[in-house]
Amino acid sequence: MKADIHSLYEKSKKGDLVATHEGDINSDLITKYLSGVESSLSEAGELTKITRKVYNILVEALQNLFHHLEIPPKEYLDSVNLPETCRYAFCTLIREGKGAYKVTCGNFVSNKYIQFLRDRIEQLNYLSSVELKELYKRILNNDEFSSKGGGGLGFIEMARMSGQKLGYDFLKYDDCYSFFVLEIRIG
Amino acid sequence: MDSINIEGTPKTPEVSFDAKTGQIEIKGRSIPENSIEFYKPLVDWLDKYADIAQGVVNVVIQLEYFNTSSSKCILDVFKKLENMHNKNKTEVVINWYYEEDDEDMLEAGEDYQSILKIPFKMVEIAE
Repeated sequence: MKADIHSLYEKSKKGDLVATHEGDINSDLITKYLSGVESSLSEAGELTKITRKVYNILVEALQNLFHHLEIPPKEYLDSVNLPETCRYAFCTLIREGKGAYKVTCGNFVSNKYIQFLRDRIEQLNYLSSVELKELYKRILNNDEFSSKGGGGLGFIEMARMSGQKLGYDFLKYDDCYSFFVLEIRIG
Repeated sequence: MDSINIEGTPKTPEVSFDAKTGQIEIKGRSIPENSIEFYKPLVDWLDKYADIAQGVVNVVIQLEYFNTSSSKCILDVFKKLENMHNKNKTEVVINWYYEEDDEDMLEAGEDYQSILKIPFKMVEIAE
């Protein structure tokens, strides 16, 4: 059975919704999303310390989508009336309680990358905060950028800022693609 | 040698590199999608400035947010400054500013300090 992406998106929005986006991911959208979240948290009187963490995690989550998402299969885009160039993804921010938030991102990935991503997230979830810091410093200082301009640090930073295990799932879409859902909790 | 003056935007920092006074400042937010494009001219400038720099080069880094791809570029900037510092004629001091309750920004400065062999001053800003 194909992943029901609409249901995944609707599920990610359940609760006290602070911000949401579904559709194409581009630089302007990221700027607007971040600005909207900053205003919402400020209006809600959220502590600066929490706002900073939410903002930092969203920067990494959205830019991770920007750099790495796969353009969805045409069959999916046709089914939801999106153009075939649409870099579809979603990103929601839910307030779960006082100073507690959940970021959920969803995007298509090629099935061939699933094992790599799963291993990477599992490795980070296994590490202590001290080990995450050491890994961050080691990769920071390795002089390498990925071919897509990322530094290989985004997931580590999200794990460090969150202080909690990264939640994730891969839902099979077809023989080539799956839908990747990443959940990051704050507070 | 020309100085560099760049106004800040919602995603890129305000930059002031003064070739006459040796005052180097990066302030604001550094969260561009393509950080290499933004920082390459700054790193190239420091390469050239190293040949003429004399006395004290005072560096002010006062960032509110920076993304992980900027963090690599900022390290490139610091490595150029470290090379400058190791030349006989120049003394480089990096002043890393952070708001008093921003432990993550303080920790980020300490991460750089532990990687580099160059004087760092952690400067707390009272809110």
